[in-house]
Amino acid sequence: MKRVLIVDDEDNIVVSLAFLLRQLGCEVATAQDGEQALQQALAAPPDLILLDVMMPGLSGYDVLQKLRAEPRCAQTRIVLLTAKGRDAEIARGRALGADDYIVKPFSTRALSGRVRELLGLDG
Amino acid sequence: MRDALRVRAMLAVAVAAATAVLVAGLLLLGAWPVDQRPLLAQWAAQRAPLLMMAVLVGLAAAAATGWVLLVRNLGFVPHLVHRLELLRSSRPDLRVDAQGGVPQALADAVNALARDQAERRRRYDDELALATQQIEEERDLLAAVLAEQAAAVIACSDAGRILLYTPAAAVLVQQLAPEAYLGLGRTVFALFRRSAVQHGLERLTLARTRGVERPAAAMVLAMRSGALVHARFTPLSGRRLHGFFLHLHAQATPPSAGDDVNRRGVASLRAAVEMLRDFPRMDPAERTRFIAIADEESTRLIQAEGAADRRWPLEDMAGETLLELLQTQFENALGRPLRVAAPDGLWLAAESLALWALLHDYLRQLGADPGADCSLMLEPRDAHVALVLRCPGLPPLVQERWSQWEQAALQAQTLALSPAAILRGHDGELWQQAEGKGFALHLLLPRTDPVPAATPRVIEIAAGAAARGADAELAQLIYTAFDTETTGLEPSAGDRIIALAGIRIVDARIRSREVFDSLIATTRRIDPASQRVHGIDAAMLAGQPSADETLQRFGRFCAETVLLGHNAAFDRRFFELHGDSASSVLARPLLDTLLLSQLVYPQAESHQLEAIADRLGLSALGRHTALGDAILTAEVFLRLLPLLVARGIRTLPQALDASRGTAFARLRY
Repeated sequence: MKRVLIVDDEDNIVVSLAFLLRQLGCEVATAQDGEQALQQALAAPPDLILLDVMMPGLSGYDVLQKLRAEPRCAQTRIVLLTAKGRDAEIARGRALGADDYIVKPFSTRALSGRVRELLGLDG
Repeated sequence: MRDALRVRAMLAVAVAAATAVLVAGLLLLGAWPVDQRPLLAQWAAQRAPLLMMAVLVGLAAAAATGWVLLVRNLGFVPHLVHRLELLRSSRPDLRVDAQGGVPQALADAVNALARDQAERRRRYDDELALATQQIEEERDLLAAVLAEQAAAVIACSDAGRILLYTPAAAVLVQQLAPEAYLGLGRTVFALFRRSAVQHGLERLTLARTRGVERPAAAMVLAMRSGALVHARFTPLSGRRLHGFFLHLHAQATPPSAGDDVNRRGVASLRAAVEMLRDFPRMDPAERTRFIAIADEESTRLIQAEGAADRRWPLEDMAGETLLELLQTQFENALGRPLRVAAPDGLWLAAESLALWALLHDYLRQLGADPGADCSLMLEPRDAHVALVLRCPGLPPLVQERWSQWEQAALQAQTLALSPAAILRGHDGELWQQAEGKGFALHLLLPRTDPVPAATPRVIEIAAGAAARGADAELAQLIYTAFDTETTGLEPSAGDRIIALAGIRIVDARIRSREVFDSLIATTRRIDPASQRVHGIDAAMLAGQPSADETLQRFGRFCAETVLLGHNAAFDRRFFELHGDSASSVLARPLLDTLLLSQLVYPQAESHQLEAIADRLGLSALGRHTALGDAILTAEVFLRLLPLLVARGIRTLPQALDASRGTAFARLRY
């Protein structure tokens, strides 16, 4: 079973995403801020991380950079969730090693599709 | 020199001989014996016929000799004058030679003068070229700067004449008012209602007199096409130029929640709703959870919007404009008539889109068909204006429903605000009020003061038509040079126009961007001879607009200009066949380059457009298309202008009068 970590300070969206991913047959863990996310990811590297960019404290970019510096997490796919869609920010994410990005508000069906691709799940 | 001497010698000899003969005759007569004089007289009487004939022959011979001498010596004069004209006007390289009786001395003197003139002109041309080049460079820079501008800006003179405009302005006007023409020298009042522009200028003046650092006036302007546009007026103060800038942008939508906080809220809301949608078999606890999330997020969003509405930028709008807009929307959406009325000169601050959404939703709430008696009135109320909707026969919303409706977000797509929020955003109020047997919906909106009468009007707007009267110099007027192509040469026999083109001349320069060019559909067969000339066949005319439509459009294109054509009587005859549609075209004053050419070159053999062009040193490439010929006509006219001025023809009335006197003016088709 694929393991997914959802990182976002907004509780309400975490609820929806966790539900969605469970329906896809994944094992879901959640974190509310950057510190928690790093702890959990380093302890048990997941297959996929859905990572919000704008968080208090460590931002999604910070987390991304730290994780990409860890060989343990080399296989982990990381998708950034962002409320802004500016090209420069997307480029920054790519440059720091993100596998994909999604702009809020997104369609959960679209997100579903991407997750399946990234995790190699059957349709 | 030798010619002259020879001539004089011959004349002298002739005169001397004649005198000698005369003197000899007189002496002989005198020496005749007195007693024999009667005999002489008798002798003469007997031979009277013979003598008579001799005298006549002698006189004839003398006259003939005189004439030959005259022609030989002075016959060259008209030819020389014509050559001098050509030399002076368009062929400075021309030289006169001692042919056709022109004395060498005269030829030499003329050529020397021509050389001097050419030299002087060369020097002048060089200096002029340098100055022109500098101006051209500055102009290029200006054009480049303008082209860079993403903003739609129009620069106007005090009188509302368009001085400059950015490409973005042309695009915007084209989108909002496809029937209108934006062009240099045109009046801005053809695009916008005069009262609206005037109001903006008054506000601008007020801002300036108050000493505001960067005076500007922002408002909604109604275009004549009905479209609304947001406009900002700023002053234009050059050293010699005074006027205003109009900064335009298309109708604004109300401010939307574009910032991150709201997007995140929307994201949560959307995700929760989509879970409910896509997983209907989720267990009840989860369902409850998602519904709670949806509730929470949407509430948060509405509150966030409520905070935003206080920042809503409102703009000035004329009461009549607002009513017209609402009336159109009402009648389109509900298929019912709406009576509207507003006092003159009432201005208010409003966001018309929001007000319409509100009214529409209210009517939907009332449920029933509004009927054919609805009215929407603007009534002044001190510092406010009341927009009052009355639909007799419909009961009002009961109190509970009213409160609900007032506070709930509208169903409209572009708006997530409640009616109460909208009116708060206007700093206004709304309520239902009983009136006799019926009721009315009142919307109270802020009134924007008209400028108090005491303030002197600094910017004057001249009456629409060119203030330039009959005294204007020809070079100052605006022209539309035009040409047509036709099916054949017989308008009275059924031939028709199949192409019409025009190009504007402003400030004695051809405006290559301000062009009219249209093919015209017809049922008439195209005469092969004509087709060989213009190359238009029936296939090219399929799907083209009708002559009536094209003439009306052309009438707008050439509004307020002087028409210029070559052999325009011909074209005019075709226009007249279309009656009312051509009335605005036929009303324009018309100058004919054929007649003008005859004024300037009365001696010339051909006044065909090609011949005139050639004489004036113009290339006749691109001929025989309507646009090509229109451009050539324009170029010919510009070259004829200084020649007309040299003949004392400086104004339009003078040109028209002089043209009427030429032989060609009497041609009829």
